[in-house]
Amino acid sequence: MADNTKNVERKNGLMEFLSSLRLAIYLFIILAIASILGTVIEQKGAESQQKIVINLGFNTAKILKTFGFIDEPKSMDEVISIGQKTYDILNKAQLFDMYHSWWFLTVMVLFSVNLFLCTLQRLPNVFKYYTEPVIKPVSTSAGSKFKTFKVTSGKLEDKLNDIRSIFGKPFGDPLEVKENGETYWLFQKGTIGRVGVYITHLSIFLIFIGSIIGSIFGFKGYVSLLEGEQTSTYWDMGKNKEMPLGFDLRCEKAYVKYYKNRTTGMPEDWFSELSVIINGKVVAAKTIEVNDPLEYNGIMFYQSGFGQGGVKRVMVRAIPRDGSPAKEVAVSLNGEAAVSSGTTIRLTKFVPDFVIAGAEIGSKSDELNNPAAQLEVTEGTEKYATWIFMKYPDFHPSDKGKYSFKFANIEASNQTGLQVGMDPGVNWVWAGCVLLIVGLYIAFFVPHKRVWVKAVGNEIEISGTTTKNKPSFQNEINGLVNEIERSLKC
Amino acid sequence: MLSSKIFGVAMIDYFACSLCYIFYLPSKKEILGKIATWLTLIGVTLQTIGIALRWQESYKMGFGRIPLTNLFESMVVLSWMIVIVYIATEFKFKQRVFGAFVIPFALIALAYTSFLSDEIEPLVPALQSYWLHSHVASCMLGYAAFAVACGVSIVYLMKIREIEKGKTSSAGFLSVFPEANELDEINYKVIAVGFPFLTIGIITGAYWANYAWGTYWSWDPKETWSLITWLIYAAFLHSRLTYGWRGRRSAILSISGFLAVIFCYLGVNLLLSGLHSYAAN
Repeated sequence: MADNTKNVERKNGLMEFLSSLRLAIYLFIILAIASILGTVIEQKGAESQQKIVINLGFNTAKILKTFGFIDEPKSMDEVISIGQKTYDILNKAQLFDMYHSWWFLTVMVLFSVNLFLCTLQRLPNVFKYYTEPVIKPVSTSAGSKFKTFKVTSGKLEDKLNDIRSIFGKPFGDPLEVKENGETYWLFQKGTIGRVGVYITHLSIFLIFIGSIIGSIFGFKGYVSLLEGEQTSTYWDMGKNKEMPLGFDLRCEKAYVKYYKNRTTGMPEDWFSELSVIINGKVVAAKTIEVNDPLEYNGIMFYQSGFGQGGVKRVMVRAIPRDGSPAKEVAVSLNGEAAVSSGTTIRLTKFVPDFVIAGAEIGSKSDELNNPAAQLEVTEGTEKYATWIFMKYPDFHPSDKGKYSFKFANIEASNQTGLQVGMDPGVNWVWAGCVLLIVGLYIAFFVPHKRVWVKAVGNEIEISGTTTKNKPSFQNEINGLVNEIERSLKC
Repeated sequence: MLSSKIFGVAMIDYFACSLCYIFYLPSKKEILGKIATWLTLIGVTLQTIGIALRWQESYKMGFGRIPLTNLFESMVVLSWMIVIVYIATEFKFKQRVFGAFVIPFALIALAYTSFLSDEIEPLVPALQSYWLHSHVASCMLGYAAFAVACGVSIVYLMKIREIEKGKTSSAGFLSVFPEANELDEINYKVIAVGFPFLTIGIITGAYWANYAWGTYWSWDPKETWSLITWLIYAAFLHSRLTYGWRGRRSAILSISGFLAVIFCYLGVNLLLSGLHSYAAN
């Protein structure tokens, strides 16, 4: 028996703590301090891992030196080793991805539980203002007394009707209780003011729900496309792998617009002409720019990067071996171009940074350090292949055919970087945000005003309360009382 | 540029105005207080004209845009809004004593702009959005209200110290201050206006970020510090409305909230890097 009560008490104690304002304030402080840490400690992704370690090394060394624990580090290696040690310690507390760490999420969950319980605990009392409004003031809830009239002449009913119409103008019809010939009225306005705080709490709850839905069912990723290129996948940043989009996305064109009359060449905006393709058919198209994304099927594409990307066409100079003037032709990858009426070339392969690894030909990087192209030359019925190099025009010459070919230039195409995202929780978040503003407005600026009229015998008593801005309420009611006084006199 | 010259004149005006408010305290001469109020009104009018001119100048340069997009402009607008909120508070509560602790904030903000370039640059792509107007304006209005509340709190703490020292006679120069309770109330009421504006500022920022970058919250330092500020004022409101914290503790929370505002506004731009880095120069 005794144990049971103890358990219940302990349970109540825990519930009480979980729903207490004290916990809320602790959590505010913990969240604030944690957030400060998160902005001071460089988070993953803000910098490369190596840079984070080096910065950490310098800062730790500085602090340790100030307190005289160590001497000035003598070499970069020493700095890095200090940085690595600090990194390992801080990494155990997941401080480099703090906002997603288990303990930060725990604080957020506690915060939600606290918010939920505290709201739940207080709501029934608030609903009573709707379900059981106090019409007959008991002495404790009577508020401030404004006036007591004695009706000496005329009918009480008429006087009461006057009062009803005077208070009715600003407050609407009263709630009424009539018993034993006594009349009680409650005029009220802004009852919703009592609910404002809870609307605010609910809204924060909605925002949390939205963000949870988003993190479970949504994704964030990246797509990088050359002009004319298309893709059916995106790079998922959460899963760290390519994922299917469910349709094809093609970048028709990507370009930049500069401000006119500016010497600095400041870009005004970046644009990408995008098409969504399903089964070879364009089902949606839009020219996006920064601050104006494309949406298809709930998936958003945002303009976020721009650069010179890969090769659009290779300019090839064909020099006839018989000494007649040279000719320049442009050829795109897997495309064909005629050099003269019997001779055509085809660009079969392009590598931006030529390297021979064993028997394989490959590219060392994506940068145009050593561009090379493989051409397939057709002269009449004869076909042969040759490699040409932009930086080494005389390397690997071929003496076949009527022409010698040189790599003259590259026509680059633009590359666009697109942020890809889908967030099915986002509308919950916006609904929460709207409610948050509405709730704050109600909580701060809508007072719950109540005026009680009590008619007992030939005495009419007027009293009232408000939740906010007492002086202005008193002025308002005193004005109405004066009006009643005038009407009672005549 | 003409607008920059006008800001210079407004700065001198606020300097004179600060002096008047400060000397109004010990002398209690009503005439000084009136001059101070008039100087404030003149200063804010000048600044309004300056801001409008700068806006117009940008149109003349071929890329009209709102003057809210770099540190110079946001400082000018912040000081302008501090004065507007101050004047509104002065008229509403018929108290001008805390001017001595508010107008100097506006003066410092405006004076700081003389170290910055006043060049009007066109907007970078990320800022070309109508959300810019509502986002920056509501944040600034929130900050300005918190600045006023901080000034009021400083006065409150001074007043309380005087009372505790038993120097509440009319001889004490703080006796012109309204009753401590009234200051406490003004502190709360100004924060009750600032808090929703900070909230709107954060929300419009989140909406805009989602539209421009595809994420409404990315724990960027500016976002995080605005959240810290929001949490401090939320703690202020909860402790006051539910716990009944008043007076000194409220005043201290209000002042620490404003310190967070300063770090959020300036410290983040100058010391940390992130998505809001265009506001740093």
